[in-house]
Amino acid sequence: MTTAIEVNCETGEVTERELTADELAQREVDKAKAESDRVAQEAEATQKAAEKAALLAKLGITADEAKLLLG
Amino acid sequence: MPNTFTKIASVSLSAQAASMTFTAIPQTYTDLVIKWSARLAAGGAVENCQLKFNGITTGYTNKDLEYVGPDYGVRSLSNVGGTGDVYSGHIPTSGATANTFSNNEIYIPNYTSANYKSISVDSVAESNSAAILDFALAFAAGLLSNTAAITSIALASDTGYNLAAYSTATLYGIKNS
Repeated sequence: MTTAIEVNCETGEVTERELTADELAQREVDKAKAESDRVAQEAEATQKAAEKAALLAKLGITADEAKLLLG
Repeated sequence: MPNTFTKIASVSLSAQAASMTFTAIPQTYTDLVIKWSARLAAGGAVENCQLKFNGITTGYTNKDLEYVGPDYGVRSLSNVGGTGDVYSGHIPTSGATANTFSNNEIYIPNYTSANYKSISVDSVAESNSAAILDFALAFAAGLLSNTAAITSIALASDTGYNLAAYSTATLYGIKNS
């Protein structure tokens, strides 16, 4: 069972109810979007790391040496 | 300059739930603040959470500056979790250190205005378990491109996992006079 907890700020009443069909569908949409974003971000991070490593290799310096240069 | 800070409502989960929602928010304050502390009932280490105003599912944007270690380091992200909601903080999951909860604050200025609604978030979530070492510190700014006054706010996981028992959220109202 998937429930939602609602607090009415005027009365202080707390209500527990099951998610509606629309809310369950929206939850799946949110979940899919979050997962696709995560995959895209990880791919971008991997790509950047590869580009950085390639550049360091091209320059013939280590990451620590690059930090010294930029610091 | 806001000079009052009044508790409007609070909720603490006695069992896991998909979301926590404040409804019928009074329109008598200038700004709103939510302080919330949460954990997820499933997941790997730390996950994002989301917020929706008035049940609206479109028109959100956000920018997030975060440190997520050790895997990602410092990074800046746009539209974390998409534009169907807005980022509202990182929280530890069931894979994190037992009984640890996040510390998150959300500030919502001018929530009754007829302008687009902005929010700012600061968040900390940590896992020191032997299996998963991961933590997140984040600052974020978000915008809802909608002019309706805010009457409800829903907090939930971005990944579809339930919020764990003992997750809490408190809504405060701030007046400028």
